Amino acid sequence: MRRSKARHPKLLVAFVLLAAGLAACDGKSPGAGGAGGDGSAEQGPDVVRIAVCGPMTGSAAAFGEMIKNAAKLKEREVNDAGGITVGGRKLRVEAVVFDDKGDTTEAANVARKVSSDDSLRLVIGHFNSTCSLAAKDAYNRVGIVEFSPGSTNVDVCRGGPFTFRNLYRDDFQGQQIATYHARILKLTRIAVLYDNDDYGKGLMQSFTQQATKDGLRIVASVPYLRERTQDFKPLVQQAKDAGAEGIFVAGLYNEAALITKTARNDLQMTCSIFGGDGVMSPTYITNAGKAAEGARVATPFLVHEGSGGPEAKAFVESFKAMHKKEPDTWAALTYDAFGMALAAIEKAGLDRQAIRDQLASARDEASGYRGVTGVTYFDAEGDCYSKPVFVAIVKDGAFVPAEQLQ
Amino acid sequence: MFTAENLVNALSLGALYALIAVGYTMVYGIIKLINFAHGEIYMLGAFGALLAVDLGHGSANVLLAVVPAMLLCAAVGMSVDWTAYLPLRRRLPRADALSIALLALLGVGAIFYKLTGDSTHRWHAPAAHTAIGWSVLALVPVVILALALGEKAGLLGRSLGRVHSERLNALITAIGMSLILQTLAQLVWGAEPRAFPEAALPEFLSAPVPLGLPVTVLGKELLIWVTALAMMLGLHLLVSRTRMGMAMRACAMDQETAALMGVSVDRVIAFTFALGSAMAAVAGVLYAVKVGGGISYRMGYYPGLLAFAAAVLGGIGNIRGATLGGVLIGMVQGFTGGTFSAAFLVMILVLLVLPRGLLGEPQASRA
Repeated sequence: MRRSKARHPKLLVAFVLLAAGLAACDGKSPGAGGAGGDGSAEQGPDVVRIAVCGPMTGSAAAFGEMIKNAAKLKEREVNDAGGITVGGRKLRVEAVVFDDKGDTTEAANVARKVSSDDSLRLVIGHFNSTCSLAAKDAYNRVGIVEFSPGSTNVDVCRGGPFTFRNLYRDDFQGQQIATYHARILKLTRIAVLYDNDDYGKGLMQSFTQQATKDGLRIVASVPYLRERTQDFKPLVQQAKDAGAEGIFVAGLYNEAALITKTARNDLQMTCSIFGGDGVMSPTYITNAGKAAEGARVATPFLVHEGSGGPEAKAFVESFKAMHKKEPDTWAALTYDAFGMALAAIEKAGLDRQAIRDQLASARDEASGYRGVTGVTYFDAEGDCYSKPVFVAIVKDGAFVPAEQLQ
Repeated sequence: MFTAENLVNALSLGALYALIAVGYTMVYGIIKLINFAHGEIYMLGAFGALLAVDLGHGSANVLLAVVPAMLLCAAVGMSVDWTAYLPLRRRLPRADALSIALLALLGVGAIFYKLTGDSTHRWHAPAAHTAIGWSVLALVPVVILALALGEKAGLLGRSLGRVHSERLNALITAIGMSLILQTLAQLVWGAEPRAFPEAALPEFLSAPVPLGLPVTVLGKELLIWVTALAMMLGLHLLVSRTRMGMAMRACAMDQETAALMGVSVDRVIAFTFALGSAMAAVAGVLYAVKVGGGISYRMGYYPGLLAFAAAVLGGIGNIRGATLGGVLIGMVQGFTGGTFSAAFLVMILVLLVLPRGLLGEPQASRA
């Protein structure tokens, strides 16, 4: 009895010390990886600071790297050309990178930090739908534009005057993928494996809806947890047992790579494998290896020889020159979002509300922004309907255009 | 869900969890410490093999790479013991041991935190920090005052030194070690999950084995079963038939008496760490081979937790219990399609009926 009592104060002391340490860490560090630094002291009126928020680490880090590199490329190009002209003055541009780790809690935290930093004019990001949704309230409350180059969940822009994106929504994506299965691949029995987050669930639902209309049968619909589920054999086995002729993965590239390998190598399935645009990353091919051959993915744009106009060609060249790496779809979309944001700032000045109004005024092809991925303009919600769902197929270890719906 | 295919998968998972769980249980048996860094050792096993394969320029075989992975993990396991737990076990004045360990831990942790922008991902750090931060703000002046006044009155020595909670210190240190190893792995290998290159994987791993069963068994599944069985058998022989095994059992019973009988307790403990770590390394490599990749700095967390659950389920401190628990947890995982809650639910249900686990011995009066 005496002993167990005596334990108490020590436990308390230990926890207090540990807590003190944690708190000290919190105070000292810039938090969610503000790679550009928090030094608001260095911020002068001659710099336009733009927050770039995405999964720089964590299970979607391949996307984050592309986003960061594309933003840094745009930043350098603009600054090398003397910066942007706002109100008759030349201003330098600075991309300040924040890491949300693809995690909702981190995203909300980043959003709070960003929206309370008055030197930041606009947010490029977030990337994961689930993060954009988690961050949305903070941005709309404070009144700073959240311009996503990657979030496709239906609700990302709904009801928020400050939320924009420059790619399609999942209802459109899911619909197109379902129709593609019916008309081009001519399959009937489909198994859906989906990431149990906002993106995966939303895409699975819109796919399923259209699939039933097109006469497809969803023979299995299996959720998994990103980062937690590692052994996909029992899940893919369900698809096999149900006699699936095609597997549709509504999730991200890492899990899709494991699913692809399990289906092809372990279960010897020869069925079609189709991924949503979350699978659209070169890392998918790296990790899945030979098993990835013949797999198809949806994407709003494909960086590939011959696709896109001269802007696309120039972008690919300069990206490769700066980062020694091929850009992907998301790099192109980020590059465009950044460019469109800067164009809006040149016209509207540095006021956050004015920037928002300027962006929102792009309502048709003529007033839209012409970039690498085509023309971007918005509807009243800030959604973008000008990008198609393009289908790419893995051939000899690279994404190339597949047969298209149109 | 109770199909033959799922049974094959469940048995493979169970074998792997058992390999990890014995590491938890052996260390607990001797020093009564839940070594939370064990899941990270398992992760380092997979990375060690990946490193060996990379160094071998693709000509290296994963199955050969297991050996350097085991050596690496044995070394890391022993270093963890030497740097983190041994100073806490030594009879230093307790206050010193406590503060040195915690300060070193926090210092290193803070440096890594700063370097990586908190990439550990284990806790929802910011939310926790905000909460902890505020409570600390309230507590800090009280503690400082108590320490300042206490030192004069000799209170520091008494309040910190008298209290018995070496085990708690070690537990907190173990959690810190786990974070440090994760972050180190991320610094070295990056955040992206990786897979073994295809050239390093022998053909037979993904080929069905002709066993004459009505269900397909792949080469790697058979390999997992055979390896796990052999290692468990080897472990059993080692513990029951060798001098070192006898020393381990003696230390588990009573360290002080064992020391009086000439057993070098610290060496036995180091050996236990090395042994458990090497087995975890094998599990890490085989798991990465089984699932086709997913080698990342976070890969140890959930399997580590599940193996810990397996060790507790089987009766922590008991090697056969850990094996049984591992197989059971594997079954639950395999048949439920990998839901985590199911595995922990089974553990809780078993503990409700058998609080010491399936094969746990009644706790001796020494507690």
